Amino acid sequence: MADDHQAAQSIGIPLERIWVIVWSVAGFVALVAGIIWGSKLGVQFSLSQVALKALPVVILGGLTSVPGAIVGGLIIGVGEKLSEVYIGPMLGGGIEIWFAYALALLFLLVRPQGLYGEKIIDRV
Amino acid sequence: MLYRENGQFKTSYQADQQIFPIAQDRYLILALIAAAAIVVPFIASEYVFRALLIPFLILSLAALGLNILVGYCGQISLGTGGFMAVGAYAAYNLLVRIEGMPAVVAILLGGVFAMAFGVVFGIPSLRIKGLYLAVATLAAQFFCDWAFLRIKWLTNDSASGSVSVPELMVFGWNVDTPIDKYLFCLGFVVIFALLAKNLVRGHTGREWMAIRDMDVAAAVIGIRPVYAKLTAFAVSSFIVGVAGALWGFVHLGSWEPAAFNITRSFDLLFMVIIGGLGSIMGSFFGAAFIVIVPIVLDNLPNWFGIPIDTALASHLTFMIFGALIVFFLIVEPHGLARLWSVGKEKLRLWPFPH
Repeated sequence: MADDHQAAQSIGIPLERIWVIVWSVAGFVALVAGIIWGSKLGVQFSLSQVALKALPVVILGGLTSVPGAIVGGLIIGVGEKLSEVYIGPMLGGGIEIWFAYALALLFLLVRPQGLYGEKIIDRV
Repeated sequence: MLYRENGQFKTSYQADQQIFPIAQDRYLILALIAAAAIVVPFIASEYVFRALLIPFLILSLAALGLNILVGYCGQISLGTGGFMAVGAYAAYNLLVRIEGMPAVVAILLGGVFAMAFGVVFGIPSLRIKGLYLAVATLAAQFFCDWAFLRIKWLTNDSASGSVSVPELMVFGWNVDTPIDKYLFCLGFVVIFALLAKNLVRGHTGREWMAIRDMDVAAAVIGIRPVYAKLTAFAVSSFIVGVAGALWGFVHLGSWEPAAFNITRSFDLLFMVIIGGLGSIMGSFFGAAFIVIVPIVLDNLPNWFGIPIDTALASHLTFMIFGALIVFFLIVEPHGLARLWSVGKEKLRLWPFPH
């Protein structure tokens, strides 16, 4: 499905149903995350910006990998706070807003597929 | 019906290689520029200049820069706001710290600084692409937000990073009235739009497009991906940086880092997508859509005399605006520029479609 829509459709995979399932599951998981976050840290409109931090998490862990997302989440979440405490004062504080992205960026340069992701092979 | 291209034979290379090879296009563009420079200052009110035209011009310049990167080279960027911030703050520092620095030079050098910054954050694009690159550029965006808030040196030791520009003098011309500001921006936009138009049809632009369409195949036929991607980042960030400097100097006058936050990046990306990826014209359509539609929607209840709460109206604006974006993307995934070219194609044959 993700690899090639047309090929998937031609071998009889129902595209529309898969889309519905994918979006519902994604929405539901995000909903659970949102509820947990909201119950611990409060709900406000800026919550929508939190979701951006999910990007470095999945990328660090590797796309197409559930364990990757969990490990990535731990690394990013813990690393962010630790960096704020230990490295932050040297740089003037408040570095947690960009630390996650910089970490993911550095990691990508060394290992583009992430921790548990599939190795990407390019073909012409 | 409106015009025909046939019968315009080119007898010299010079004539064949013009930016607008069709005579009618050339006249239309010239007429547009002339109208924008001569007619508009007489008919537009001060509010229209401040709220509509100046933001529209500057944002279309920024969208143009982003379009080179996203539309022509296929490298997604969510760091546009950051590049704009670099341009704006670099230009500010140059103007404040160096005695007698002309404003235009400061703005252009601000673009140069943004270019260097963009190239540095473009280096990851050599190894990663797509969603991964979006994260890399998000890093640029958040890093800028942080740097201009926390590193006091960058903002000339002002509190919370808010700075303001003294009066803008351009070779003895004091740019202070809305009309002056409008003309000043218009000059930048016209020059950069023509430069970009010229660049994307040439050798460099074709390299970018080859990389966009299929990078491995492009590398196989002898296009250097490193060079093509980094030039795209450089040109794009330069234009975006100049737009950022203009946004700070001309539109805002005084600003703080929040003026260039992630929302600005998303706005610009929406402009490029709605206007049309890979189209110079599309950047202008997109900027017009994003700048003008919310203001029109906000004022609609007033014009029709519908008694409605302003808070409710602004919420409704958000909703209708979002729905419009989705609607346009469903109806025409290639953006407004595509609608324009389809319309032109139809009109060319109308009313005798054979």
